Amino acid sequence: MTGKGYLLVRRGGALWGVDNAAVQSLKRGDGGFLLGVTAGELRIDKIVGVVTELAVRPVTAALTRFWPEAAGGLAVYAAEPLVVVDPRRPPRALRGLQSGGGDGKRRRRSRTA
Amino acid sequence: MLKSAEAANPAPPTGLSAGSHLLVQAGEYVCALPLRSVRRVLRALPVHPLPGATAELKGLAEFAGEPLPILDLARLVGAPPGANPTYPVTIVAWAGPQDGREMIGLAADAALEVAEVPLASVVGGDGGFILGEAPVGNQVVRVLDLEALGRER
Repeated sequence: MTGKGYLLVRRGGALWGVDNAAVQSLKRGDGGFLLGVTAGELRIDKIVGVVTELAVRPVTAALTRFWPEAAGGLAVYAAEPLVVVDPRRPPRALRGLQSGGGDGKRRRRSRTA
Repeated sequence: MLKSAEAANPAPPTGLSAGSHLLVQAGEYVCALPLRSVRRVLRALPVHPLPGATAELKGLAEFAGEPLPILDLARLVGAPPGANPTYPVTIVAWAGPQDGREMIGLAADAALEVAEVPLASVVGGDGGFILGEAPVGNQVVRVLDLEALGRER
């Protein structure tokens, strides 16, 4: 199941792109689909489609500061931004692990009151 | 709302001093963003949440065909929530040091006005993103250093 392009999937309301060449298997499971990649099985809610090309931009420091995950880059598909998954280090949201973010408790330097 | 305050160049546009700042409402705080860092002010862009992000990151948006991280300005400055904004905005701005700047979006409750904020009037602050506070008219504003946003850890 390899080929040129990206498989677009949805998980947690967000759009993700997985390099087709990294896809090893795809099957139903866990209320959605299980996508096999180098790092194991990714849990996805919906398959959106396949695109032959994406203009992939690097992940910026401002993003990783507030989203501490590895990623292959960022792109836009049909006016919707997406994260290109690094198949060796997929984000926790796709691995079915608790993300641990979004609670506003990330430590920062002191703030003015 | 300020309409498309284009300032793509890092140098202040003609007629604007280095002390020119865009004042924006963020929760109960008024924040001053250096105008040289502001690229555009838009009606709030649709944001797509990113699972696993901290509360300061609202998510990703699309701007000019490019993915754009959108930060919640009120959360960044620790502002108490204000009234529901009637005309929320996204401020597209440059963040990080000059030699490694990147484009970000700041979600704010409203764009207010452009004002002069002399650096000599800024006091306090955390030595990072929040440069300090300064009086502007009859209010105190939080003066922000967007160049510090990319380097702060």
